[in-house]
Amino acid sequence: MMGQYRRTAAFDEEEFEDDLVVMNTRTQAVVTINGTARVVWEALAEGASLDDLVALFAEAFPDTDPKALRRDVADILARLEEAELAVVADDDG
Amino acid sequence: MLYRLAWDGCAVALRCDDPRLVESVESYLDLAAEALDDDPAMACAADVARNGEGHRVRLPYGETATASWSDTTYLVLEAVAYGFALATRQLVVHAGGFIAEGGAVVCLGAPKAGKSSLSFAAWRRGFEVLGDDRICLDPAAGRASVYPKCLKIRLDGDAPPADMAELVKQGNAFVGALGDDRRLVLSRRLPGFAGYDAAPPLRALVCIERIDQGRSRLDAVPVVDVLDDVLTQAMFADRSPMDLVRLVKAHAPGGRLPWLRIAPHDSDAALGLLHAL
Repeated sequence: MMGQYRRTAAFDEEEFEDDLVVMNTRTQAVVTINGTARVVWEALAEGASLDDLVALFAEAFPDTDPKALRRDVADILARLEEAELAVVADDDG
Repeated sequence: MLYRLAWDGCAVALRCDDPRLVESVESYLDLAAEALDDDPAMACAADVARNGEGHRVRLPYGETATASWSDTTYLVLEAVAYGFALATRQLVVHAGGFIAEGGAVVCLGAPKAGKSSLSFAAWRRGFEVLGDDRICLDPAAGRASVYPKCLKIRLDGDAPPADMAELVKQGNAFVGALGDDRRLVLSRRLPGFAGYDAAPPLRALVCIERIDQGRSRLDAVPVVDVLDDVLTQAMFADRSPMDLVRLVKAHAPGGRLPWLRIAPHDSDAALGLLHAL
């Protein structure tokens, strides 16, 4: 999907050292995210596309295989979408 | 006859034609059973009728026949506890707990993790026990309290421990079974069990796990590694899971929770390790 992603408005979060525990306040689903996923989550506060996110990580990790990077970021977005924590812009009810 | 058992602003109905059984439930849970005018439409935690030496027990999820008064009492106590789980507005966790130096030590664990054995060891050691299977938590106040369930110890054989025989004789304990699960059940009216008005501040949250061999030991585990299990074992009613997440965080120095691994037949030693907290 090439759309703009952003965070759902319906979330609550709590920090645990390097980890972030995030709950969808509508479904009460809770996920723990860290590392790359946390960076993605924080980038989605302003909204970002998959391409934007991949570019962000490519700049930070220039030696990483671009295909692997894209796959990893896409997996993270899928996981956040599954928990209804990330939505395509204008889809959040 | 229809009865109402009330606890903490909620109630469970019980229909029973055996007054002695109702008295037992009252005694073991330390709750009064109020007799009501019968209402055939009333949803009951259990509907109990005498049937020879045992009873026919109708539950919301099915019906069963019991062969003895003890087995009926065990089943009805479980049914009432389940009824309260559906009715309560409190946050309830799958845990045992006792009071040490004025604070509640709450031990979170899956079934067969050793909660009952540890709570029994605490009771025998003279600690005031909140419970062995369900504990109420108030995240806003940071306090723990009693859930209406009796302490039940798994038995290896048919007989209770020798030092418990006197309690059985006095009617303050009994041996009951649900299928293959045979337990010694202790009355909440016994000295050493906290009353329903006890609300000690939370002193420690501990994850417990049973191990097959070696010695009991106390380590620490990153909260995020056990958080899913903790949340899965909790009943939230009207509360947000994040209330429990924050309560756990507040009791996890450095983001780590105490993790007690209990070796076989080693609950007393495992209890001793908790003194370090």
